[in-house]
Amino acid sequence: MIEVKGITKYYGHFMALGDVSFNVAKGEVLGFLGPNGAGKSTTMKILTTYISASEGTATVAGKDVHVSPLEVRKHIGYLPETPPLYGDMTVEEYLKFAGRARGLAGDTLRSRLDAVVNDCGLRPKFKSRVNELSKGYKQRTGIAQALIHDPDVLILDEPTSGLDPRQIIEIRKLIDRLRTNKCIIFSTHILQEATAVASRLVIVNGGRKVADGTVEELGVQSADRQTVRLLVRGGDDSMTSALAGVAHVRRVDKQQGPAGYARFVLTVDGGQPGGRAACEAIARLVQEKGLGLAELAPERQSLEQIFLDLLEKSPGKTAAKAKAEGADKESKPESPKAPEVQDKSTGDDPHATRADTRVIGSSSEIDMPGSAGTAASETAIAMGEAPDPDKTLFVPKPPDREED
Amino acid sequence: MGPVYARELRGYFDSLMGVGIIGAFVVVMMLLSVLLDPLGGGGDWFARGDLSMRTFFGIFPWVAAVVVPAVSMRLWSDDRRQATFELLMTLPIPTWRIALGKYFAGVTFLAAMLAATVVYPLMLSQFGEPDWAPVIGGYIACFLLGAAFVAIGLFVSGLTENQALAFFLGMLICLGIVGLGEMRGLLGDLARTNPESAMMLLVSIPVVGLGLLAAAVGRDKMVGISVTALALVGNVIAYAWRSGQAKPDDAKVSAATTPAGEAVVTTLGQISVLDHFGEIQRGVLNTNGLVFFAGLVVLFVLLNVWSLESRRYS
Repeated sequence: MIEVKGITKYYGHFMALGDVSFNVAKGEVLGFLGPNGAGKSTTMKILTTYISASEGTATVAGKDVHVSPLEVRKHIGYLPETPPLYGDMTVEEYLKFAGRARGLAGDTLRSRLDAVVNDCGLRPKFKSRVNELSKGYKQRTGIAQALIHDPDVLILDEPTSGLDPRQIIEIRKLIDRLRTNKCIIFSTHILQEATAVASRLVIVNGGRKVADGTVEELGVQSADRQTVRLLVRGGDDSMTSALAGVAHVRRVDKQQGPAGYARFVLTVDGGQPGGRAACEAIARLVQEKGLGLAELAPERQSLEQIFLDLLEKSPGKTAAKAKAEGADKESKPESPKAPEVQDKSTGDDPHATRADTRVIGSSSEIDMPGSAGTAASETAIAMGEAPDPDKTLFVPKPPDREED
Repeated sequence: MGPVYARELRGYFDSLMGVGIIGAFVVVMMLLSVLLDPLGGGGDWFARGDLSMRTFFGIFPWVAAVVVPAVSMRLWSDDRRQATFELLMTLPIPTWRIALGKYFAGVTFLAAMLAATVVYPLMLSQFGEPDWAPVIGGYIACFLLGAAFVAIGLFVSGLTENQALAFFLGMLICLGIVGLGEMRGLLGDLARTNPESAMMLLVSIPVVGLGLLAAAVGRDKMVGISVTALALVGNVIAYAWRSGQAKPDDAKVSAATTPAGEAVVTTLGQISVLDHFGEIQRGVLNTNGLVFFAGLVVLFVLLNVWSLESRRYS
């Protein structure tokens, strides 16, 4: 349905997009992922023919975006980053305008209007002025506008940005309902979004495509480590060194647990088999020591980690960062066989902050308590932004203890 | 085109803004017509036994040069400011049809403004038997001139998302276009004594305007600034040339027939907005005048479409 063939876009001398190619088939939902400024919006603007690529081209429904832009536009429903709304109109008037501008009239317009109003849950606000709508309703009105002509291709630029969790879930459900007979591309810099609805991910960074595949495929592409969380009744420091001796365990972080318990966060290598072997060995170890095994939870590598790993490998990484990494390696030589042992007894829940999530299981060689800020600012550098530790780039993944 | 036209027209009349502008325009036009009349005709408006709309039509080009850009400034700027610009530019409608939809909405609003001022001739008709022909001719002239100004405003509005900037630039271009024709006094004299420098001035003055426009809204400010600077240098050279080569009075007579001098004088006559306006107002609805105003409309609507389309490639 969509074929992107090596598109490149220069803004003056700045290359916003460099030789990006991918395909999207009908029925597929493509999550377009990348940090801010990676080239997501630029790609979408080229696909919608809003701007034209400097090199390369793309076809939508078999029509070339440069040769027959008007034909391409007929097939596309587009929600720009900011919903394109006329504040002085009511939702009804606005959607009618959008429908008429797309050539709908009479009964077709009425039935389509009915359909999108129901799909997007706009019925309660149908007669309200767009200016008076909440952000969530504005976003839905924007999506309704993109759907009014029942397009084959739906391009949504950050459809959930700025929405509250309930609204985000509603939009996800909507995308899920629409996926059957459409080809949908949506961009986001929030990873959970991407995994929640997308059947496939394309990750861009610094204008380059760095990955393309399903979440599972991307996990395989990435490092083979995983994180195992362990909660032991009566565990003490001797336990820390014992755990470090278990095969495949690369790192042990001891953390504060509930009273009487100790929590350990282990980094395990060897892929899935290594993880399984380590879990069995850990269970035996706890039994042998006569302690209580309260929790043993292997975690699949988080998408955040996959994402960061991919960005690490991507060409967007700056020389400054590589240098900093090199310096760090020098100052802290590390034997690959000797597992790191850390005692971090602050913070009850390792998931409480994004910073902790970052430290645990990171493939970066500079894992150490307090390196969270460094990790965050490094990411920022890699993305070509000023380092800003306060900037929330990723929503922390909530602990998923039920996960097998 | 239809939906865009309807949407824009609605944008004018939905808010009280549109009605307010029309009301203010009528009041200003009538007040100025009454107050300025003695300057043109001599004597007190009420005391003179002669009621005419001469002043009304006389001041219209200048008032319109200020009011019309205020009306047209929102046509694209509003969309540029919001994301609706992206919506319009990705609709399966060619840009020229969207631009025309907006243009005709602006022209419709202009017609409504002019229609509202009909109270003035109706009021005058209470005092005597008016001759309606010149009044109708005057209104046609006003409409044509206004329609050209709407096109200028549309073009400028597409250059910036800043409405205030769109207004000022639109006003400057409108006033400039009216003013350029009125430079006949100065340039005509110059054309007789020193046709080359007159021609240089005639070319460089609009270039200064274009340069300022480019500097105000262009992506690369330096381009606009350099163009302006170059044109200004051209102006200075033209002046210097004139003073250097100034001939005694007898030269005036002989130089008037030089081809360059002739060209300047003819061009000034052709581009004089007020000349064309006056002719149509007098009932001379010749092709010259129509082509002039229609040409301005086509030129600026095309410039508008071109400037918007070229944004896709920048």
